[in-house]
Amino acid sequence: MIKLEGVKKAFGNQQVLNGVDFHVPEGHSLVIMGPSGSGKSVILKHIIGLLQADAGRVLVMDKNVAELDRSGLRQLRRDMGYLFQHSALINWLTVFDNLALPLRETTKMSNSEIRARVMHVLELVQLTAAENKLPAEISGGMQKRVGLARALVTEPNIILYDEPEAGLDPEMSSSVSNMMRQLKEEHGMTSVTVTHSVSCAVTVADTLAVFENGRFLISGPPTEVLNSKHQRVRELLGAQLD
Amino acid sequence: MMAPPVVGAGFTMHLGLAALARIGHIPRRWRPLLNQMHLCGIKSLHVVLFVNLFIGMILALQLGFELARYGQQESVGLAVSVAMVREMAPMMTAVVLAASVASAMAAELGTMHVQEEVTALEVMSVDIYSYLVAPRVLALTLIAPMLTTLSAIVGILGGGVIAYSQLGLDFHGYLRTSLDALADTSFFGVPRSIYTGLIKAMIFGFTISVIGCSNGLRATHGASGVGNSTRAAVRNSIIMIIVLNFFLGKIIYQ
Repeated sequence: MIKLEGVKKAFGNQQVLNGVDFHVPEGHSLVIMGPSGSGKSVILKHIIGLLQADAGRVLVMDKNVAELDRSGLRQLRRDMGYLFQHSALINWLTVFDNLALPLRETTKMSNSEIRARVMHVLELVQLTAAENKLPAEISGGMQKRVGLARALVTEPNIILYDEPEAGLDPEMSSSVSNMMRQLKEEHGMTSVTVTHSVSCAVTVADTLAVFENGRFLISGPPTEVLNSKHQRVRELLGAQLD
Repeated sequence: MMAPPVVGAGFTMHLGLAALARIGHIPRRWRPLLNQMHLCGIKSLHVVLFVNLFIGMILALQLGFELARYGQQESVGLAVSVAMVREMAPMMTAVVLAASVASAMAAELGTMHVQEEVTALEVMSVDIYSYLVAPRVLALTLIAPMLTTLSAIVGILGGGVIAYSQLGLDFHGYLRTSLDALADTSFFGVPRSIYTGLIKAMIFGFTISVIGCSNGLRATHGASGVGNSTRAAVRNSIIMIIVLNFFLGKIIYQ
């Protein structure tokens, strides 16, 4: 469903992706861990077409993202949801309007259909009471869940999570991870997650990959990666494994 | 690799054309359009009128003293009305709008950009030119001539107060001279001085809003980046207003 083949990307003199390869089959969950600033989020931005690779191919649902025109890219993005690290909710819209926005802008759904869909996803993230609040009036954890609801409201086949636990307390972080797991199990959603949290990775991942210096150091089932004898992998995950 | 100012100028022109190409989307964006017109127009009105009142008074005072040396103080109404309608009202209104509205647009869109809200819109397949830019550009393009008209009236009246109180002229005589001065060559019944001012105001409004949006959408590096983009929006808008004012006046009057 998502395939990266030899993807390279540099910003100025800094080579951020240096021949990245992976394949995420339908319904599968890939979790990418690695040090801050290593380029993990850059991978997500290539998948959703916000960045173009200098070399290599990014294939999503058998379409080469780099070859899509504007309308093709919009069509592809309608099949994808993206949870931003800091939620990125539109600050002047209420929670309801934030969720309704992609439906109003990209579908021909009626107001009643939009309302039903929005309230359904708000129920999923247990935030129906916050529908009329502005993003600034709710907590960071609630904003994250609204961000998740917004990513789900278009019923995408693929969802990309950029540090879903960032800024959350352990209880809320665990709640969001469980929600991600539930989405995968109940809706068969394909996902790629970038995270620093081992507990999130263990909860969500079918495949766990550790990324540094533009390449994957290791990838495989979470238990295999977490028990790896690879010294650098142990250093990167070590503090959290202990 | 092109220099950043060249890239910026290219992006600003692209943004202006993209906004024009999406004017047809406005009927389904009437609510944000009215909201922007309220923000640009009503919230700037008192400052614009206050500034132009004093511009009219300054013109009347300085021109009145000079004209009086040649015994021509009765012509002060002519000079003030022509200067206000053709030049000062469009330009000073635009400068106030650059300082208040272009800066607000740059700060608002810049904050959205650095907080990834603009990226979120792109990811959701929302056309940012239609959703964010077109209502702002059209709002200021429509509001600027309205504010300019009110500014010119207030400026001429301010000049009249000075003509009466400082130069000892008859107020009604001043107004009659002012109105006579505007009744020159007409274009579909509209005096040239008036349509010159209104065309300038529309072009200034369009330019200011496009520059404000462009600088906002190019903001990077957090709060300091938003500050830089806001400063650049005001600076670039004022430079463009002055340069365009010269060329528009030359084109229309040559």
